[in-house]
Amino acid sequence: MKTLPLFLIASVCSWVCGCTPLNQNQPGSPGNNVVALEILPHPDTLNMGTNDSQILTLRGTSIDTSSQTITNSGVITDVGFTVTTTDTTTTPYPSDQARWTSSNTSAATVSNGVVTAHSTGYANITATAGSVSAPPVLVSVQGVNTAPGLSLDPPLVSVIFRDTVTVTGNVQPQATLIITESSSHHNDTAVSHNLNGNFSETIIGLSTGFRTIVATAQNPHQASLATTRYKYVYYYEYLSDSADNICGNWLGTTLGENFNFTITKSIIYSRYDINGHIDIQFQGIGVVRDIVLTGIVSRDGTIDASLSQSYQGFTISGFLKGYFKTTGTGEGSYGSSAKKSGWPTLSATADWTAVKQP
Amino acid sequence: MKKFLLIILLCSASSPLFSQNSAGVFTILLGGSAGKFNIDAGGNFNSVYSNNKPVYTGVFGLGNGALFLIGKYRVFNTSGQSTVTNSTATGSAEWKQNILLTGLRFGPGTSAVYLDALYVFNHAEEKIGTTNPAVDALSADQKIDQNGFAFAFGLSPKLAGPLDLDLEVEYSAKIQKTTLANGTDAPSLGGLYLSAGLSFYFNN
Repeated sequence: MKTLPLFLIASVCSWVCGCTPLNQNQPGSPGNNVVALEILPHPDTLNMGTNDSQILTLRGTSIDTSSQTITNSGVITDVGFTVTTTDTTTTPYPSDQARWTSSNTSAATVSNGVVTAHSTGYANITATAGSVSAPPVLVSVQGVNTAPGLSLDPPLVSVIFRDTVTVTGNVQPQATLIITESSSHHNDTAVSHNLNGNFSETIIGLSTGFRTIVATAQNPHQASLATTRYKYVYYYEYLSDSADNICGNWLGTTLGENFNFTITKSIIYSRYDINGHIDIQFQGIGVVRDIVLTGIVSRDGTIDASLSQSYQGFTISGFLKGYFKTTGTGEGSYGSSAKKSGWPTLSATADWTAVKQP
Repeated sequence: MKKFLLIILLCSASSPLFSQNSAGVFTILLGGSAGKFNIDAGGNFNSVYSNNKPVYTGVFGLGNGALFLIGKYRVFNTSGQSTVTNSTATGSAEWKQNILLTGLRFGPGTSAVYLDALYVFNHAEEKIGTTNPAVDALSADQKIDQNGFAFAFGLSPKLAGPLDLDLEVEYSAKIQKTTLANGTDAPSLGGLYLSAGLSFYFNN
């Protein structure tokens, strides 16, 4: 009985304030169901000048579990199964509900997501909600009369099979960013970035072979104060003139199920068309057959294909990736999801292999 | 109803219209009929399959013209759409039922009506699934073996020589309680069979 007045007072206060307690089971809200936390924007390194401030936000990932029983009945036969799926939901997480810390408060401090740079140095910024911590963001603080900070996202060395590469990273927001590549004649002397210094630059028209991409951040007041970073790519084209050998009928296998498809030369230069059907095994539901496989095979042998099927509200979608060799073999993986009104979303991923038929 | 009773009366009293077979002579009976089988499986049967499909029966008998040891064999196959709930998938269903009846036929040699007293062996198989899309987890099949008894009443006016026309009403019921895999009682596989057919009587 002693708790009754307290309950009434709390109820009245809640009504007067027009607010309700934070729902512990709401996806993305502070609560036990939040299983992951992420700081946004999420560069590996956040470059700042002294006395600059930047706002970091949080995103929480929650788990929502649901189940659905589906029955199929005849007269003497009755089938029923319950499929349980775990859907993840990602929503913004209130910054003031997390505990923010800086590993080096002389370089930078943080309060409710607002980072303030104080002096040259580095600091790891982290946020914790309950027992879940977000991966830290490294803050690099540069002085006003020094070379601006610049970081490129990994990988810094990669092999590519197309003539296109995208360079992403973070630069001290006040700096001037220049990105160049010789074989493509790419020379952007004012790469744009957002308020946090994040940038994304796409370079097209690369020549085959080893290529060097040069990114330079200049102090806006003194260009000689600059920081240069490099990204290296090797553009590899391996099908060459024998690419037509992949054309024909292929027999694929995934999880013990065979599927057939054909590869034909496209009227579009340096491209092949892939068409066929695949049977995919979804966990908890079984095999869904005759999913349409269609897409293209690039001259480098890589596949860009989609999976689709729909019938009366039942929709299958997905992708198939991998590569083919002119010697008559191929391999890769696929991912697919099945959606239907009243059903939880089902997904399936697996590897596949294929052999060209004689 | 009066007409029906009149026909029975005429058949019971031997007449030129309903001439009979020779009694006391070893006789072989071969016959066949086509009709409609209304199964007692329950209301769900019609919703899944309907049951307007024609059913055919073969008849074989040995006797003395008035009393026959007979066997009947009937196949009742049909297909339909199973009931799928919480899903927009299309259901599919197949029903295969083999019916073997064996017993005695009284009367055809001495009157133009006959009565069958039969023991029934039923074997039913059902296979259900889904199409568009085909979902393996929603597919299953089950079998039932169920015995019972049946009575049939028939009119068999003579057409020409050893050939009789048969008009028959047969009702079969289960005498055996059978249980499905899920523990529930199996539906009755008996029912009402209305048919018309021909019989040949071969004797010396």
